[in-house]
Amino acid sequence: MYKSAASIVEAIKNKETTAEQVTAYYLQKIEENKDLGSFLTVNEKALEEARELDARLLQGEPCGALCGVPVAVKDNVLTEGLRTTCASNALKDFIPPYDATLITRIKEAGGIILGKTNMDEFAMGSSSETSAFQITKNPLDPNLVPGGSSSGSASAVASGEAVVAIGTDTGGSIRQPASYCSLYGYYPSYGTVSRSGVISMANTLDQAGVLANCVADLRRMVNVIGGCDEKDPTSMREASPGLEENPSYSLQGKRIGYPANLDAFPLETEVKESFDKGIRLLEELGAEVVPVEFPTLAYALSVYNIIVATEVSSNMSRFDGIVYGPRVDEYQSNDELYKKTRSAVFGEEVQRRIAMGTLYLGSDDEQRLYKKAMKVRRKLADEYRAFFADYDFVLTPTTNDMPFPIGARKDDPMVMYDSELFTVSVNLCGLCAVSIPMQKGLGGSLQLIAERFNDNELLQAAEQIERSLA
Amino acid sequence: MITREQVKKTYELAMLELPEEQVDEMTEKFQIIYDMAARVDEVDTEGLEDMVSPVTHSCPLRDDVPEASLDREAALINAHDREFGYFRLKSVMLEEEDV
Repeated sequence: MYKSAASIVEAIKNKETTAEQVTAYYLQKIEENKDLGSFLTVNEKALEEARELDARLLQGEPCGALCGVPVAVKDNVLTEGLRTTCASNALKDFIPPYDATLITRIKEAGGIILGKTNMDEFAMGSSSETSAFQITKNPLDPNLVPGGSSSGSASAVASGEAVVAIGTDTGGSIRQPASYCSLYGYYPSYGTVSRSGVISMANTLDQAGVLANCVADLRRMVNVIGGCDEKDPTSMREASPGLEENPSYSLQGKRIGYPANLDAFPLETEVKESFDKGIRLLEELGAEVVPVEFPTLAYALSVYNIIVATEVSSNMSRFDGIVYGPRVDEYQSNDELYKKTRSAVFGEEVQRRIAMGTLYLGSDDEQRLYKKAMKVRRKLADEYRAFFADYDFVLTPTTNDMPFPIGARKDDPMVMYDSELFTVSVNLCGLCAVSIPMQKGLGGSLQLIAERFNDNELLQAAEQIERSLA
Repeated sequence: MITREQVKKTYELAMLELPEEQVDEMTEKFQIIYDMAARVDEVDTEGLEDMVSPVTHSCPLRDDVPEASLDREAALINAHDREFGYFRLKSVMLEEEDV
């Protein structure tokens, strides 16, 4: 078993193994762990692609940053010729005609796409239970959910079916499953990774990121997939995120704030214990960790709910049964075609979010809540900006709860929001954050948040915490 | 207060069908979510500008010069039905004598 992407690249570079052997190993692990339900589609050409890479290396092609590293990819990222479903019947047979920019970059760096991982339908959910096809189990305890919506990406890495995985995060969909599965999960500053070819849920919040066993792999992956992309005008203007390792980085003297009113939030005992342990650790590392008032944080979930639903409502209008996806046979008008098809192919959660967004965007009350939410979003961002003038990082638990039993909260319309209590404000304000597991196995995680585009220091700090936990 | 009629109208506008027997349950779920969302009303936002996106750079546009795009065959490959290089639907226009 390989510990990291770096160890695979080194082993291939030193001719201790080949890309084909590494890929075969992980394909075998996927077969052995089939019951977990991590993958929706396994790339049948993975071995062939690994062999081709080996042949090119033999001819003198230099090893890329992901040379021979098998990568699991969430099923809302387009992969040319490889089925991409968003875990929805609306795209159950969809074969993308092109690669997302981030996939092109993984391939150019020598990465091998292992397959497409299960998720909540169109990334709407936090447990995989809204997937139209299967429920993914938590490898740490198969009775529990793995979190979501990047459910299969988390379970694939936690079970050793992949060494790294691509996820997407609109309100916590990388960090929450990373926490539930005891992994490192990274949401880069909005704009770091191109969204071209990533199927949109909420355009102003969506960002692809990484789940891995160590911070070094988060950095390695985002250095490959990040940077300016002319196909996404919201992507960063710099050619590369330029994330650098810094073994001498120290948290000594750094100022870290955590929400002063934390007790007002419903924290489960294990989560609180892990968080307190995290504060003690940071203090031992020389940081000043103090409670800080974030008055608007308590409203972040409300703002998020409104913004996400409205953007979802707009984005999902493209699924009309004409350009792609299944279509009902019986209809008398275009409206009937749309209604019947959309109602047949979308699950309840997706339909409800589209409808809620339609309600918020409706003209009955002149979009009052939507307009209000955009102002509260500004207030929240202003609060963070003022905070970062005096502090280096914000610290919160990643989630307020522990992974729950499969099926336990299926009918609760709030389930997908509750566990994202501490993560959504990062997306709303375009900040960056990393989830750091406080132990091996089930338990709480720390979420370290840094100012927009201060990703380099964020990962360096996270790596120092990782070293201290080892 | 969210009403049954509001929920039914919203699904209609969203081009979704909501079976009559699910209207009560959905109204209840709408109310729970709406109550949570409506808490934004408690925040004083006097004088604040909207925040639409975190992006602060101006989004560049490329020069308006035609470029090769996705091949037509590739663009149509996932269509449910197609003909002569176009998406095909059943005829939904009324015949002249039916008007």
